Amino acid sequence: MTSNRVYKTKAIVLKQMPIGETNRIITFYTRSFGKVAAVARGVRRPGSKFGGSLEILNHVQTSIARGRSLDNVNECVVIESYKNLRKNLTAIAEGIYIAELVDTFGQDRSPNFSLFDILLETLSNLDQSEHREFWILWFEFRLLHVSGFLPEFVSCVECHNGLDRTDHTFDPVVGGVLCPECVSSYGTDQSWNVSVSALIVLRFFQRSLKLKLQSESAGPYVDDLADVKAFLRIYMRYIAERDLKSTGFLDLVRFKEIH
Amino acid sequence: MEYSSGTPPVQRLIDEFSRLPGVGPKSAQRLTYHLIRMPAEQAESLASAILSVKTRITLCSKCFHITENDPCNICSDTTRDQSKICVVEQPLDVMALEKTSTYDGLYHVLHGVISPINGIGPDNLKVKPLLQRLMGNDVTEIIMATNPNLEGEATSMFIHKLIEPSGIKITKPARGLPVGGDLEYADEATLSRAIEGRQNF
Repeated sequence: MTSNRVYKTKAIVLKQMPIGETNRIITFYTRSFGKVAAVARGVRRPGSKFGGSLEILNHVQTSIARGRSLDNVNECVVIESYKNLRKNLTAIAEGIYIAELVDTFGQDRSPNFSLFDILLETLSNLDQSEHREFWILWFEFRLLHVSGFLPEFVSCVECHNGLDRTDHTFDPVVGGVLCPECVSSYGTDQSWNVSVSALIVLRFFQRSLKLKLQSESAGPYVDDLADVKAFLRIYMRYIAERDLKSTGFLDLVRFKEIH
Repeated sequence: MEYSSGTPPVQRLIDEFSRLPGVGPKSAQRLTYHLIRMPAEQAESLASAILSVKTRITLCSKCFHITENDPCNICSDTTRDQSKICVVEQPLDVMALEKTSTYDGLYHVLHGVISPINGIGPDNLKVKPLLQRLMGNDVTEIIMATNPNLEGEATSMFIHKLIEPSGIKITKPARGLPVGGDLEYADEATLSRAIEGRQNF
């Protein structure tokens, strides 16, 4: 934190909550200060100086003044509003889902530049609207990486031997996949089966962590994401210790898009 | 909160006021001391107004607007255009639209907005009754007047997806420049929507 009363930062708007007559508490994920909540006064009035700049999922440049209990938003200018994303209901639901993930995993007043950067990159991938489901999974994987929760998928987490190309046991308590020999000694009652098709994608993700994936990279994987999606959903729930609230609506709109 | 017979009435009123939205402990104290100084008739009138709201006001079984009579005055007014339904988030939105005197159709109050991050989905809103209302009815137009923000738009888009197969015309109020405002101070999103939705002079 700076010692100045007013601080300026780039931020993504994660969520809003009405407070008082015309105000809202805005939760930002900022590049320089991590998760920050601040009051935007008068934002619900049609003539508000903030206009549409504090819309959820906007990438903004904002200036925030420190207050006694809550900070106050002074100014906010939109850098990118992801217009294509906002035209598609499923993309909106996916955007809100990643916003909830960042709200859950992001720390108050503790910057994580990598988390901010992958959030920004994912919003722009969702805005391109190709292979969105793949980009969400890629985001979840990197979120685990930058938050320090990434398990081991390439070799057995206990004996470090390579794993056969087959289904394996994943145990979140020991922090990764166990080979058949180690399951009986180290496996706990928290473990579950992870399919080979999920492991293929997870290992591809693990190999690609230092790369900036392009749309072409997603091509070979986009048709077989059901297992890895289910795996990451369970693991996210395990880490967050609760069901994420936005998954219900996300599943509903994805279902309606298909049917 | 349960009160024993020994709870001082002043403290009890302060606590009751503190439960109201936007009223902190200091405001609750100010309201309480104002009430103490108020003539008894005014205090009684306030108390009876609060009681009558709770005992006489209900939700209209058709549009879910707050009303004393069911169906409400708007739904039972046969001079209004029965073929148009304006979908809004809150009863206060109906009141705002009624003040304009330019809309003569019916309403449907959702009582909220889809807010996935707060765990509020379509099942928590009056979406199903809206679909039931459209079945076997002569409604030809639905106006989606949810708030022009991400959650309001998502709600409109979701309902649009549900109603679209029925072939009913679905519209939404124009987005654009506020009356009396200066163009140079309008934000990009508002200005771009105003240009997109421009009309013949």
